[in-house]
Amino acid sequence: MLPIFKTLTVSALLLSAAAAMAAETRTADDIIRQARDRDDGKSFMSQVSLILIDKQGNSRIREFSYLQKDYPDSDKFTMYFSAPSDVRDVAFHIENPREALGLEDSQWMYLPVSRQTRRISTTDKRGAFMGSDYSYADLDKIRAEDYRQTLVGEEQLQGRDCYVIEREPATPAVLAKTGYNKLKVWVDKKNSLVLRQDFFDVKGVMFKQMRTLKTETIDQIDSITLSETEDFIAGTRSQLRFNQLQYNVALDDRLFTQTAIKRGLKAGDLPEYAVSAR
Amino acid sequence: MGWQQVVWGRADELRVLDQINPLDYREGVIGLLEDSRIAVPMIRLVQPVAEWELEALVITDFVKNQAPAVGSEFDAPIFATPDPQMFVVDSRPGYDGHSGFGYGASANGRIGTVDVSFVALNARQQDPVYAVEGQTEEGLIRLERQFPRYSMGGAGVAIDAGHSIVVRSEVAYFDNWRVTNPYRAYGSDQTAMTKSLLGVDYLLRDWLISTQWQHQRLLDWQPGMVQDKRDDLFTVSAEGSQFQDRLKTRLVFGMSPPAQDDSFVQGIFTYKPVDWLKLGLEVDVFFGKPDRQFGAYANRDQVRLSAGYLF
Repeated sequence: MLPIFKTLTVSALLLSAAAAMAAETRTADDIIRQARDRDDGKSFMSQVSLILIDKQGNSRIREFSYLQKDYPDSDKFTMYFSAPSDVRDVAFHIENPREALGLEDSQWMYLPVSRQTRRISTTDKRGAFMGSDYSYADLDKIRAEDYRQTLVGEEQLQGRDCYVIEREPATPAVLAKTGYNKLKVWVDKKNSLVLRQDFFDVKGVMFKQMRTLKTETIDQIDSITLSETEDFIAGTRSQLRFNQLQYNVALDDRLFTQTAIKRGLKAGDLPEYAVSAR
Repeated sequence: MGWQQVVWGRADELRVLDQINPLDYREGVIGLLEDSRIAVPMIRLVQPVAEWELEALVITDFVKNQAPAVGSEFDAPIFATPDPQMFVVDSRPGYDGHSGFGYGASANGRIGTVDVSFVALNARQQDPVYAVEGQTEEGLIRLERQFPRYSMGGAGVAIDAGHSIVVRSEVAYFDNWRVTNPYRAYGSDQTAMTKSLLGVDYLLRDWLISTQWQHQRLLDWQPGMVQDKRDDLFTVSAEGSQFQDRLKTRLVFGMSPPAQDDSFVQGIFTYKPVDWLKLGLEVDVFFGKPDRQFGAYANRDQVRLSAGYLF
């Protein structure tokens, strides 16, 4: 083979491989962005049960109202706990700027026992949400740019075709915020719901797993109505059960301020639930 | 309308802007404020306006701080009453009707990324001030026990500074603040007073570690005043929860410098084996000199056990 022809052939092969790798990386990013940007309505309200299951299998249930509303530059969430009595009137308000803005979240917590609203730092989200196996990072909206993601394959999970993507923190700040050295995510190919997440520590040991146990189509939007997180080190499990949920409801802007959580949720603040998930 | 507790400010177990409710000191000086605040009757209006909350209140009856019983294990020099061998308190005016009223207003909201509060209050001091009225025929100094009226204006901010840190600050200015001065020929001393606080909260997974510095200063301090010209209080606390929120722990170190003269260590542990049962253990250990706020309890460390049914 002529030397120049050899050089051209090798160059073409290298360029093809690079293009293929680039396509693969873009595809993983695209899948995650699609999961982040999937239609979840302009607003959302739900009655939620947070179920804490200890090593012995004993369970405790916390009930709260979950409200979400989209704004031009952010999503805002408010949670009002109603039961049991020791967490009644505890409330959270979280503002998530759009990822493209590159801003950190803002978070406030109201504790009725001290009658104070406390500003909570959001650069460490490793803490347990209300004592559950869900960390505050787990409750965040998917952030595509915080991770380097790689498509590692496709699998069937619960009868659904899924992309399997491995994600590693893009910066030390993300690792410090979440505590996860690696994630492995199963994303439903059809509706972009995350059906399973495996969480790995610095030694590559899977110490936690989040599983979607039930999905339903509500208001024409595919929704997770039951999820479970299991901590293999502690031997505990927690579930989030969305008992009633509704999309695109008229929710007043005053419910999404840091001063609203001190006031609490009053009768008449929310429209009637039209749909129940079971 | 009704008996209420209203908390202003963001201080952790310290009171700079938080001046509305009196405190029950009958079980000591470092009890949690949530357990020590005394509800007062008031009419309160709250109105949200965009990101802000405006509040106005009228306190319709004056209620003073509750001091521990004289000679009890919780009594201390800071609760001292005039020595009957030198003084006689022969006048104790009441504050019935509108003379006991207090008025206040606050605005809470955000300016940019900073949480902001503004407060104003006109009320009566909750600790007694003894005004000199003259002398008895026996040569004892006659005193009138007063709860003088004062005005307060203040502001507070909280900022998420990143790196898991939130910075809090409050400043309050007290006008017409009265202080007992037994060396006066007549009346009591009047001065302006400032209270300020700087707090830093660090979030480490399930633990919140806070440090605070509170500074109080009498701007027109005079010799003989029973209150110090300046008073500093430092606290370091760590609060966290474990075992799926079954166990909550609060550890506090507090001191007025120098630490060896006036400090305390507190541990509060709350365990909930089931949702309807709360078991508590509180340990308070005091250090310092007997004439200081915490040092006065140096030989009276406390252990408290509690149980509660939640419904």
